[in-house]
Amino acid sequence: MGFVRLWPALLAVFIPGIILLYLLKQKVLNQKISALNLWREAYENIQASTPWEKFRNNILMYMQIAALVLLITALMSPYITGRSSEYSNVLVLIDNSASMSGIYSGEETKLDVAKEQAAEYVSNNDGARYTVMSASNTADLLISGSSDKGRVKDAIDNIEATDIPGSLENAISMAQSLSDAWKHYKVIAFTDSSANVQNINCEVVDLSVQGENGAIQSLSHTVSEDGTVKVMARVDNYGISRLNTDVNLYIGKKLYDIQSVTTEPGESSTVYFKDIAAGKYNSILAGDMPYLMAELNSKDMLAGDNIAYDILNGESDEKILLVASKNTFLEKGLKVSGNRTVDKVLPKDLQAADTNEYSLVVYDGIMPDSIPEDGNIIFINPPVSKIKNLGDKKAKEEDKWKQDIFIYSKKSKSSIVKTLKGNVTNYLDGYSFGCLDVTGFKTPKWAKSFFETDDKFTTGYLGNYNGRMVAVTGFDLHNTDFPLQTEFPIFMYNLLRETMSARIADKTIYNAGEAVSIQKKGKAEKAVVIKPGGGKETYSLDKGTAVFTGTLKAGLYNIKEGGDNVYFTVSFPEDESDVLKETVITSDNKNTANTTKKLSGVLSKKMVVLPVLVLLLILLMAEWMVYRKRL
Amino acid sequence: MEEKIFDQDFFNGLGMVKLVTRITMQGGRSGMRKSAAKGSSVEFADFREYVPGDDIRRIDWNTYGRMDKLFVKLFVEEREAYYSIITDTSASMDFGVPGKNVCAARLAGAVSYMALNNLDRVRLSAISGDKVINSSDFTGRQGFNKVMAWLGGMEFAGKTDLYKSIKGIPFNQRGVTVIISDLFSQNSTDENIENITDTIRYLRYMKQEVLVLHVLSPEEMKPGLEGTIGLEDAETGDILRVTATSHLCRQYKRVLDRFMSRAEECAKHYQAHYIPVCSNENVDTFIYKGIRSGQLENF
Repeated sequence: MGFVRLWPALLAVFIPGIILLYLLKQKVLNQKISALNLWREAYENIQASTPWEKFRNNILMYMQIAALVLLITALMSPYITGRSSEYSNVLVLIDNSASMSGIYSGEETKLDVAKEQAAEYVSNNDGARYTVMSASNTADLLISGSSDKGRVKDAIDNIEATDIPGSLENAISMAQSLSDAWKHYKVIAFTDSSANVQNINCEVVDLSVQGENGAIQSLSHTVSEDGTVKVMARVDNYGISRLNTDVNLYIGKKLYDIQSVTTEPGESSTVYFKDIAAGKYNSILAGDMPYLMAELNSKDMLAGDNIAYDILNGESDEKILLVASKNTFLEKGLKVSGNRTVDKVLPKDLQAADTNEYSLVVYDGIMPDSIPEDGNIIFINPPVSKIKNLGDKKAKEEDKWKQDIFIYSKKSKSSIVKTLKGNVTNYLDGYSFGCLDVTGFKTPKWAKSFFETDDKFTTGYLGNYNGRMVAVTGFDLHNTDFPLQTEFPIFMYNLLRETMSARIADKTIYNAGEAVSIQKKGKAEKAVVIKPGGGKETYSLDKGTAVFTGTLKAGLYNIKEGGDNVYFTVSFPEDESDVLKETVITSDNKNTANTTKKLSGVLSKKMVVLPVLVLLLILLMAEWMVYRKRL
Repeated sequence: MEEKIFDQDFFNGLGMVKLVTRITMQGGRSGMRKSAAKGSSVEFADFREYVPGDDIRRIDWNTYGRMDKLFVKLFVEEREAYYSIITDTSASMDFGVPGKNVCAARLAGAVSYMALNNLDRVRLSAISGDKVINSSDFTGRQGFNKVMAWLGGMEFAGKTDLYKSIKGIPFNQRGVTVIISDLFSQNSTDENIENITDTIRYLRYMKQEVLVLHVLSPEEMKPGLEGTIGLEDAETGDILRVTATSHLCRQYKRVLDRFMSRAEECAKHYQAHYIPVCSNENVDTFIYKGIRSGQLENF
C-alpha cells in the first residue's frame, strides 16, 4: 500500500489533542454514597491490575481517534500495489535533452512528467532490477541493476534538465548492448523525439505536445566603419499559430530597445534594432557587462530558446607587432585580423620598441633576446643556429624560455608539410604543401602540433606557455607556395584567433554540452566559472589549462581569471525548439515498441480512497449511536 | 423521615410470629419467657422436701402416699425478656432508594412489635457519633404507639463508631440485643470487621443474645455507576474520583460479598445471629429470613 501525498500525515498531531481532551476535560459529577471504603478497596485492586483503566471506558475517544486516522488516510490518497514485475530487468531511459524542458501541462515540464511516471512505475513493480539512463547527446548510465527502489528513485529524481541537443540513438544503442545479457527485460523510454528501437523490447512513452513556441535563434552585431554598431536578431516561429510579440534588446542588464515582430508558423523574421553609437559602444566595451541580450516578450512552451546573447569582444583594442625584415606574405596575412592595428618594426629596431603593449608579437626569422611579459607570441622560422644546441647546456635563468619553447630535432632540405587536425587547421583538413629548408621540432609538453613533415617531425605547434599562447612554425614563408594558396588566409585567421582572441576561452559562442577549454592567462592560478543560474565552479590552472564541461543550460557564462572577466554564451540548440516535430518510433518486426502517452505499469495502481471513506462514514454513524446511547 | 414507616402491610404477618430467645431470663418482671427462677407457672420444674412455711397447697399427696414423706412441687417462674434494639443513625444510613433509614426503622419497629406482643420489655437506642440516645423501657402492646413515635423522631447524621457507642448503653440484665446497621463505621473493611467483632464480644460479655441486622440499599448491593465520577463519602465527605466500568463494579461486588461473609463468620463465631437485609425488601422477606435463621418462629 502506498500514498499519493504525505502532507496530510501532519494532521496526526491532533491525535494527542483528542487524548488530552479526554484526560483533562472530562466532566466529573460527584455522587454521594454511604461509605467509600469498599469502593476504595475495589479501585485499588483494579488499579494494581490495569494501569490504563482510565481508557477502558473511553470508547468514544477510540472511535474519534480512529475516525481521524481514517480521514488522514483518505486525504493521503492511499492505493494498493504490490504487483510483482513480470520482468527481471527494467531499463528506464529518460531523454533530458533541451526539448524535454518544454511545458507538458500546467507548470509541469515533460521531464517532470517522465520522472514522475518512472518513479511511480518503480514504486508499483516489485522484484525487478532497475537500470536508469539519461540521454541527450550522450547516454549516461546513472544506476545499474539495482533492486533498491529508494536508490533507483533517487537516481531518477536527480536527472537534471539540460539544453543539450540530442536523441535516444546512443542510449538505445547502449540499451541493446545491456539487454543482450538479460532474459526477461523491458526498456521504458521517455522522450519527445523520434527513436529507432531495434531488437529490444521497448515501451516508448511519447511526451511530445504541440503548442506555441517562438525562439530567438541568433543575435549578432556588426561594427560599421564609422564605429556605430548594428544589431539584428532572427526570430523563428515553431508554434502552431502566428507569433505576434515584442523583442526586447538589453545592453548588459539595461533595456535598450523594443521591436515588434510578427512571424507566421514555420517562418523566420529578422528584427533590426536601433544602432548603437560608437561612443556608447566603446563605453560598453569598457564596462563590466560587454554583452547584448535579446528576449521574446511572450511566454510559450519552451522558455530556454526565448533569450539569446551576443558578446561584444572589442577586437579593435588589440594590437599586433610584426618584427620582420621584409615579409609581404606575412603582412598580408595579418590583415585578416580585422580591425586590429598591426605595427611593424625591423629587427634592428626591436630594442627600441615596447613589446609589452602588444597583444601579439610575431617574430619572423629572428630570435629575440627576451620576450614580452605577458603577450602572445608567434615565431616564424626561428634561426636554427640559435636553437640547435639549447638542450646541451645549462640555460641561464633569462634564457630558460628558449629551452621550453624550442626543442630542435632536425633540418630537412625539403619536405611536404601536412596539416594535422586541430583548431589552427580548421577547414584545412588533409591539406599539404611543399617546402624547402624545414626545421623539425619535438612538440613541447604544453603544445599541440598542427604541421608535420613527411618524416613525422613537427614543424608547427601551438600551446599555452605560462599563461600566454605561443605558436612556432619551422619554415620561411618565402620557401613555400603556401602563401599563394587560398588556404593561407584561412590558416592565418585560425592562427590569429587561437593566439589572440581566445586567450581565456576558445570562443564566445558554444553549443550546450560542448566543453570549454579555459586557458591560463598571465599568472592567474585559478579560474571561476559563473553559470547562468548563479552557480560557481572553480578550476585550478596549475597545468595551464582547465576544461569546463558544465555547459548544460543555455545562457550567459562568465569566467573570472585573475583580473580578467570573460563572457561566453551557450546557445539553445535550434533542432530542439521545433515542438511540432512529429515523433516517429520505428522498430523491427520481432519486438514491438509500444508507444503510449502514459506508462502502462503506472495505471495498475488501485486507489482505495472510497473504501476508506465508507469505513469512516460507518465509524461516524457508530460513534453517533454510542453517543446517543450515553445521553 | 418523610416516608411512612408503618403501614397496614407492616402489621400483616407480624402477629403470626414470635421472637425466639435461647437464653434463660434472670430477674425482671414476670412474663412469657422461661427463667431459672422457680415460681407459680403451670410448667413443672422439680420436687423438694417440705419445710415449714411452704404453701401446703403445693404438697404432692400422691408422693406422700408412696414414700410417707412430704414433698412439694416446684414450678418454673416465667419472666419477661429484655430487648435492646440499637439503630445506627449515622449519615451513611440515610442512603438509597428506599432509604436504609426507613428500612432500619421498620426493622426496629417489627422487632419491637413482636417483643411487645410477647409481653417482653423493649428499649430503643439510637447511636450516632459517640452519642447514644436511649429510650425508656416499653412494655405491653400499648407501648408500641410510643415505639412508633420514638422511631419516627430519629435523625440520621454524622459518623458512627459502633463499638464505642454501644459501651454507652447500660446492660443490667440478660436480654437480647438487636443491632440494626450498615456496619460502615470505619475507614476500611478490616477495621469494620474488627469493630463488629469487638461489639459482639462486648455484648456477649454483657450476657446478651445478639442479632445483627445488616442493612444495605439496592445501590450498594448492585451498583450501576458509569463514566468518570467523584464518589463522595456521606459521612466524611472524602471524594474518590473513579472511572466506573463494569470491571470496577464487579470488583466492588466481590469486595462487598467478602465483607458480608466475614461479618457473618464473625457473628457465628460468637454465637450471634446475622441477617443481611436489603432496604427494598418488605417485612415478609425479613420474617422469612428470621424464621430460616431460627430467630423467629410461628405461633
